[in-house]
Amino acid sequence: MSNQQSTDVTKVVVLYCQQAISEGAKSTDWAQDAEGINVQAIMLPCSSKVEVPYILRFLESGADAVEIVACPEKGCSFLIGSRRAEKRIEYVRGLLESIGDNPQRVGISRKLSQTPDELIAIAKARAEAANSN
Amino acid sequence: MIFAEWKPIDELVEKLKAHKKVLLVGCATCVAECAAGGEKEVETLAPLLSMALKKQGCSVEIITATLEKQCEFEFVEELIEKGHDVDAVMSLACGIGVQAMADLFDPIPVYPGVNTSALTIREEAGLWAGRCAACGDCVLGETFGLCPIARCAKSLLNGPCGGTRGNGKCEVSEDTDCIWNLIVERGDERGQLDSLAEVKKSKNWSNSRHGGPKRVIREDLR
Repeated sequence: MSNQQSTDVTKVVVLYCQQAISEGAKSTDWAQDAEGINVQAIMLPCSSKVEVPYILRFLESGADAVEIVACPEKGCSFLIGSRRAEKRIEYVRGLLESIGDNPQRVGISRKLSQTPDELIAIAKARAEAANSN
Repeated sequence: MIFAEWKPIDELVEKLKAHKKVLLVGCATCVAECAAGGEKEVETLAPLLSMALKKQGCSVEIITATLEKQCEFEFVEELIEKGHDVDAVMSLACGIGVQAMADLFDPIPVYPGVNTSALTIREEAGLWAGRCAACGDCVLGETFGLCPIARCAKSLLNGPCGGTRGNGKCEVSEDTDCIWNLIVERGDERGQLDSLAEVKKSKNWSNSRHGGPKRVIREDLR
């Protein structure tokens, strides 16, 4: 779901839990409204569905950053799904460090009822962090 | 299970940087159980290595496969077709699997991607602990099912030593139980402490790796 064709813009993959967003964000159309960055939005039944290999494959295949949008600690419908996602992000950060890469290329946000504007802001913040090193 | 851990990424990159096409192979048994060399780890390491190699200006194609077992030739042979045009193989199996791959792919270099280090049990999610040293002369029948070879830092047959802490931990680490303390406690619970009073003679290590390369023949199975 790209909104930019240029290869110079920062590409951010946003993997978001369907429970962590507002009604308005149920469609991935919001990604097309992100200006200045290229957002690929993927909705998931739970953030715990994001496995470490998926994140690395996105990065290897050209994404500059990957952000998981998950539910807060006590708001996860699957109880520990978002905690698992957070641990995987920490693990991937360690792997990126081990190859001398910027660990801030991946991150996680945990909050309920994220609106399209909030998701775009999260993606932009991750793009900025990814480009910081 | 046989326990292994990834080698440092730098070491793996160094081995692969001169190659063009590499087959990264996992094993779905022990090393999958200890999260070092199963399919998930193969699919994690492949893009990571690819990124690391690219950062060093190396263009290496990495293809992947995970075998049911790398320690049996019947399974290893499945890779002949997939690996026909690679110029190197990296195995995430234990040392047994790596050698099986090296036999199959000779003279193509086969590199170990992991260090095989112990025989462990998974005590809980993400926690493995050594339980067996494959010493070839099992004493578990005399130590109430607790192994002093694998679980004592000094592999003492007559313990505990003077280094046991007051809280029953080993002098080597505050996180490690003194296995001889546990053996004594279990013997006490069973009313069999007297059996530990007998001094055990020096162990015969000739049936472990100290006795040379192992080779076993069972005529009934041939």
